[in-house]
Amino acid sequence: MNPRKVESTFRPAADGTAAEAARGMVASASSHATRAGVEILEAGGNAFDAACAVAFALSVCEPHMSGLGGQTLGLLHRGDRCVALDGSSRVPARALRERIDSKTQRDGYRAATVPSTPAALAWINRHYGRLSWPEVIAPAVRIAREGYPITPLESELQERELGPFLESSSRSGARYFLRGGERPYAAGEVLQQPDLADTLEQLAKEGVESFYSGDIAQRIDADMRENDGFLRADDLALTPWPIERAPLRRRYRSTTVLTMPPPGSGRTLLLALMMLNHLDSSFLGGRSPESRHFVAETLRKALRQRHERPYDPDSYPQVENKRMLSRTFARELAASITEQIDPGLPVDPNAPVLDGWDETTHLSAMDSEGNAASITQSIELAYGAKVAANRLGFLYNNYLMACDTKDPSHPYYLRPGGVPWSSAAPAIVVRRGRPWIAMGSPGSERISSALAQFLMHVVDDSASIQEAVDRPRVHCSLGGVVSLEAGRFPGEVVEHLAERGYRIESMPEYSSALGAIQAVLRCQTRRGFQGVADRRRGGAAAGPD
Amino acid sequence: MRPLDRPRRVDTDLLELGDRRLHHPQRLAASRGGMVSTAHYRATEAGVEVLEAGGNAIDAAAAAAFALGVCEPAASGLGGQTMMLIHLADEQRTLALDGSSRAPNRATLDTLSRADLSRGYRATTVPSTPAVLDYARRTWGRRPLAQVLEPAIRVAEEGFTISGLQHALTRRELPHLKGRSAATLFLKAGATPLPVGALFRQEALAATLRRLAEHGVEDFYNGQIARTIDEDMVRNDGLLRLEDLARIPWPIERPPLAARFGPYRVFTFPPPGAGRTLVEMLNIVEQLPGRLGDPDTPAGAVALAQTIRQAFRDRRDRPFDPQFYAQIPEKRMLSRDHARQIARGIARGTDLRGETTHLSVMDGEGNVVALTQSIELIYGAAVVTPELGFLYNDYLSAFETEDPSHPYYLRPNAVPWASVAPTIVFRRRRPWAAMGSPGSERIAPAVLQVLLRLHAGRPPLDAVAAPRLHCFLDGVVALEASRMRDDIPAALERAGFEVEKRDPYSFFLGCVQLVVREPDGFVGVADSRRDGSAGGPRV
Repeated sequence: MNPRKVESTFRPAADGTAAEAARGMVASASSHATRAGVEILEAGGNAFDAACAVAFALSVCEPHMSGLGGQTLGLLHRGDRCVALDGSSRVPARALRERIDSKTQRDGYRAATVPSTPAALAWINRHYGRLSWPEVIAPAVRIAREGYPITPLESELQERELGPFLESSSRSGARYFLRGGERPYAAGEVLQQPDLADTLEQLAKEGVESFYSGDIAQRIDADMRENDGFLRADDLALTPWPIERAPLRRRYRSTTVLTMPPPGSGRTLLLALMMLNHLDSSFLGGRSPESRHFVAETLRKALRQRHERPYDPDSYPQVENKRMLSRTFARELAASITEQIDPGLPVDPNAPVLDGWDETTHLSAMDSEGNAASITQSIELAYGAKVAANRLGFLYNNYLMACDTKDPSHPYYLRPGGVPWSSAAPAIVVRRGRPWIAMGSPGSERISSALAQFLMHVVDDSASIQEAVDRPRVHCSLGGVVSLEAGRFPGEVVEHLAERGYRIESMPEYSSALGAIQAVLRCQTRRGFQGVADRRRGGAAAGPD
Repeated sequence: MRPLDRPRRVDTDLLELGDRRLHHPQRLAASRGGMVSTAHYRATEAGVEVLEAGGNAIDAAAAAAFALGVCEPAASGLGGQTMMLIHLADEQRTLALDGSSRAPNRATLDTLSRADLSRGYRATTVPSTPAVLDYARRTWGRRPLAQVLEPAIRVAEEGFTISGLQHALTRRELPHLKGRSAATLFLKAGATPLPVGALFRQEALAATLRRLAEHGVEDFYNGQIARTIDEDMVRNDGLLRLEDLARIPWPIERPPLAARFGPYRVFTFPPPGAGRTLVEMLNIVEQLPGRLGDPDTPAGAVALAQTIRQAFRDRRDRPFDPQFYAQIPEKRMLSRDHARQIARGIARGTDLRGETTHLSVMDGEGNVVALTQSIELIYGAAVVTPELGFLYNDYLSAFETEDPSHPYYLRPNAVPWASVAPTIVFRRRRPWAAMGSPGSERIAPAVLQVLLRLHAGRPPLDAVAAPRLHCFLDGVVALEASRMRDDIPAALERAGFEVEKRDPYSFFLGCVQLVVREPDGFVGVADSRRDGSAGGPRV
């Protein structure tokens, strides 16, 4: 890798999806949210303050992807210490498996876990940030009052989710997120959210305690009782303060990658990277059809390992044989890749697929003190449970979708007090002992694919982060279905993969089905910061000068 | 008559006066090869047997713990939970093994009555003792499960002799046992306590233990035993189900609490256990002026009572989720500054404002185990599945029921608050003593008082036998008054406490099993307050 080349070939983009700045950088899937983060950095906040501000802002201007009703996971790097913040949400006490069917697991009031995003952000603010709680919430309040323009993707999603929105008898989600409560908004129409603004203001004024044991908690309790949901005040009363866990850590060539332990999916990313580590840099960097086959096979095998090795987050640290993190195991797996698709793993379009590529969001932030935050948050599926807290303005998540419903011995089995299995893999890449890149992506099982290829382009081909995000990517599902932006690959690549035995699914150019990376880099061969927001979802990178 | 035919003349002056039928457990033992001390002599024998067969301290502790479930069934067993503090010699590592049991999926307060929480089929959490003991064995032990279970199986099959203490406890608990399924197993004809000296065999329990030996502890959680539990629970309107058991309660490894006390480094149990209480009390005592440091004097006894009370106040006010505890920035109960404030208050005379079993084991390699396990109340929930033979715990009574924001509020899959404080003390960087006690809130103060006596130079047996007191949050002090200076109760009353005089060797005031490493071997002490013994391998 040539870090000088990585950093010097970076080009800012006019549409704001790639930017340079002197004193810090924020990247997120919304330009409004990114601007909120920059505002906070300019006001003297650190990267953690900025991350909170961006996260709150995203809950307003990207409400289909994350919000107060969801959960937040992330990596926080301060000084020479990095913490994996597990802000998982919990299944409510009354949500017994036998009371739930496939419909209620997905849509409606019963699908929700106890929202933990407010607690996670409050924890970050209290223990890592410098600015006050009201200060980091203020930009989000403003966006909620002033409104923001609906994106084409949002409009499409509203169209797609019309059914579940309208099926709910309360229509609480439809009232907020459909025009007139009935039809999708058109792209460009401005959405104002006065109820959400009021809630955020109340949160700012009364503290996060209001959400879990105060007025907001009482209102959520009443709303859930009214609508036959499971959540109650006594669930909320156990404030879901996030657990600080040790991040996972492995090398990729000359860098060290820190990422999310269970219940997140950092292991999948690290295993994929450890496997790729066994291939020649020049081979991977060369982007030949053969190398794409190896990448697809690697991603598939890593996903399979994750699927077969779920672990309880609290006892994971003591697992003696952490196979997915074993270099020997990675070498064996890499060596098992042949010229063809693995004959022992036939193509199976019906193999389990982690739902949703159009959900969850990621933000990255770095400041001039050397701090870095890499945060992934979500309400699980797009528009969550499709119902919103009455008069409070935020959607309830549908994280019961991320629980296993078949095997009571599964660590993530749907049980009261259980946590959902998360596919999030927020990551921080360290070089020469210092955070170099903060990165992450939404996209469920595509997260590790997107991030692995991004890092591969940077490290094996010395691409700038902007170039690395932009390049076409592949994803290979558990079942051997390869999705790729067919039009952006040379024909021979697509043919070659088809000949290996994969089923090919052609996606449109810059399809967000290939993830959406938000990455920030602190230059080590020059001064300043660089940031990129993936065009596949839009958004912006920006920083103070 | 030939000389051999003449009856021997018995010199009555030489006869002991006590009942010859009673067994007197060996309270004090010495061995070069290792040491086991438990609250029942048959369990101690089990541990020693395993050490002699080449097992290490972890194997021996597991064997003794399984055996205690047989010969001290009212205190612990397969239906309960187990906590262990372990020092591994080869890794030079001390760790706390949190074997907390969880409330079942169906355990919400709106479906439970007050009575449900302490007796009956609805009171139980998911038993973790089988999983915890086997986890320790397979991770750090050397002997196969079948060998570790063997002594327990034998005691269940051959029977053990009911002691005076056991008979008295059963008589006391009779109202709770009568009419419940435990009566069918633990009472004579389901109605009266077994007499002192009776041989008590437990066929059903033996069969269950044999099944574990053959099929592994997994059978308890997802095999035939699990199905039997599930069926019985459904039949009796209990809450436990196959779904609960299927999530096997493997223990969580946690860092122990560590504190300095005099020349020692004290390791003890973090939340959900009560090690913080012990640490805070040690910190306070260490900063008391010398004239208040001897608990056998009136001034010292008053200072001790105040120390205990304040530490418990702090514990009540600062409950923490075990998973969350490590990241608390300010650990007040462990702070020496905080303890200094309290010590000053005590010195100025300012007014400041549960049954379990314990065993300790050391082996010749330097491994140490301090293990405390329980089914919560004496006889637990007082119910059994008759064909399985073990009592279900009643740990639902150990949850908070008023305040939903409390970390130990009763909700499905939450863990109960525990008062255990298994403790390992290091001196000159090597394990020196292992100790612990049953007795609910009296546990930490009992450990404290034994450690104080050891520190004052008393020999191990004396340190354990020395009279003890306990101070409740409400200011009542229970003490073994007849063995203390008779001016101590008055001093306590003058200081504002209410005095409750207890038996000379009160069952109420804990039961400390102590093992100490001396330069030329090991010494073990079992508290005479129960039926325990100490023993070491013959070398």
